[in-house]
Amino acid sequence: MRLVAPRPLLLGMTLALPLVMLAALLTGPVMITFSELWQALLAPSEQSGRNGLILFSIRLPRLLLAALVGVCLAVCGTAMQGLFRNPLADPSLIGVSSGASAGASLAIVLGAGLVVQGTPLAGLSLVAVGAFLGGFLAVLLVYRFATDDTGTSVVTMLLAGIAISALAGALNSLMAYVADDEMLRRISLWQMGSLDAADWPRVWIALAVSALVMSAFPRDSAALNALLLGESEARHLGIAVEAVKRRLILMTALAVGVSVAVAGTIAFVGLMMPHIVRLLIGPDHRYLIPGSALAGALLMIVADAFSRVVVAPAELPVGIITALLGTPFFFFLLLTRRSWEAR
Amino acid sequence: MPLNVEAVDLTLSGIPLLSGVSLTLEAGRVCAILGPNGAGKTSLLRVMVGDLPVSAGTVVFNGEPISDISATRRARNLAVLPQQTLLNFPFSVEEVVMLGRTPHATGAARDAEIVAEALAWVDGTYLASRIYTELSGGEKQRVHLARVLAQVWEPTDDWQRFIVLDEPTASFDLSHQLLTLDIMRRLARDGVGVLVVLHDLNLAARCADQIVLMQCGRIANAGPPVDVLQPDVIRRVFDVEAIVTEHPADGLPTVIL
Repeated sequence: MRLVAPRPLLLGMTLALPLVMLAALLTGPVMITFSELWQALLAPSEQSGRNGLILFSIRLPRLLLAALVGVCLAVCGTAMQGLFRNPLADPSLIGVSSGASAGASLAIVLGAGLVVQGTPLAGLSLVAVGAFLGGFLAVLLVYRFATDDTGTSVVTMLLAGIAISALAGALNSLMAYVADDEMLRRISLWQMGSLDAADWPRVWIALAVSALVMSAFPRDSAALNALLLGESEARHLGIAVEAVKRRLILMTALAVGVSVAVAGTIAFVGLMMPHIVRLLIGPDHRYLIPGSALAGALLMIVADAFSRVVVAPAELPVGIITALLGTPFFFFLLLTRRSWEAR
Repeated sequence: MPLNVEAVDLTLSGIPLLSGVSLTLEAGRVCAILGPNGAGKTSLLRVMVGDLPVSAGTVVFNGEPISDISATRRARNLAVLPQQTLLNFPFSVEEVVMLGRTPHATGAARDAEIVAEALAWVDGTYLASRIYTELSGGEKQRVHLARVLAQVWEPTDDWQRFIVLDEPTASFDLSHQLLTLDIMRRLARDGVGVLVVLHDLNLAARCADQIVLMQCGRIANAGPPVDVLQPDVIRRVFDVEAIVTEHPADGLPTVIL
């Protein structure tokens, strides 16, 4: 039996989102009150200079970036789990995260000479392109490996994902080995998943990709539902299976690649959020996609707020927080999945 | 306009699975395919529904080559029930049957009516709000039968509707096996063409207008049950001795092993 009906859950999360955002905006090493926020809003630059700076130059872009990356990861996780009919699939298991991470490292190290000093946006774009290409290439390889005339084999795909991840990991290590100190720091920050470099350009990139994903994926809800029966069953229900697969995989490579580029590899959001939402409202993608998007945004906002206060005035990379939350959940999943998943 | 295969050869990885198979499935009739394991029954089915491209020959559905028909148009008029469907996600039974309405645009209200009626046909009304993954094997198969019934429930265009069932009764108890026969006859009365793979000669005799016996990738014998179910034919195809008699109640051919 279902724990909650889909619509109330979606409504509840939609209502909770602005409240959680507001709370996260005020939370940090420097606690800000409502009245200070109000002052900063009314008089942007004058008396409230310090609070205004914290709120609108540091916390707001960071908050938005966290939410948008959460949306991308959770929705791509939903699509991957549906596409491969495997509730344990997520973008990192099929190699997109490690591929994107290796691509980003390559861009940081090899592209360093290409970046004109003092133009952070150009540097960001190069790394974003590197991450996107890396993620895309990894997924393409995994997908090609696992696909033959009879369809895509889930087992082969996961194994190929492990192999490609190992290869990407080796590339990553190689880049870290040849990198100088500054590059090394940027690479390792990526791998931990950190939002402390959040700025408005990154927010706009993440917003564009999230908007693309959220306008594209829901159109394939019916196809994803039918695909849960199997590829040939979906074909008999009138779904253009190959086109849907290509579309979803391309979008996932794009969105996760960009997420890694702007915020590093953030563990388990793509696995955990679709899973929790599915346990609550069932596997219907018409609700699961928006539900996972909202849940991903909420988790990332909360995890990021945690990361700022837990060891204040220092901060933990948010990827550590999500992994600390995610790993126990993953074990819980492995232990209990027998009870609801037929073998 | 029938579903028609003409002189079809199928070779996969160098192994010939079908050779020179021709078969016409008329709307409003039940055609049962029988034969030993590995005779090519499922291969023929998969060729007829466009799953596998033929090596030679043609497959024509409602007057057009099956590979040229748009996915939606085909799905609105041709439903396929595989031997087994591996669904691991906890949909409710109603949601699974509703998937059968995916190719249609009849609206949520009409779809819900059709889902309820299709579930009633398969004796599954009591399952409607259960979680699919918690059902028994036979219950799951009945849910999928309801799903393919919902898919071709009513005509949507001027095409004939067909339904293809691969061993639908394999996991059913006796009463649900007989229920499946009733469903096939009912479909045929509604003008739907039914193609069914069965293993039980007597079940086939009770529901089929035409029986096709397959052996080694060829059609060994085809015709009305009375003609096909003969001791010498059964000996030749299945390599078993059988007595064929008339059913005491309805006179249909009955095979005793």
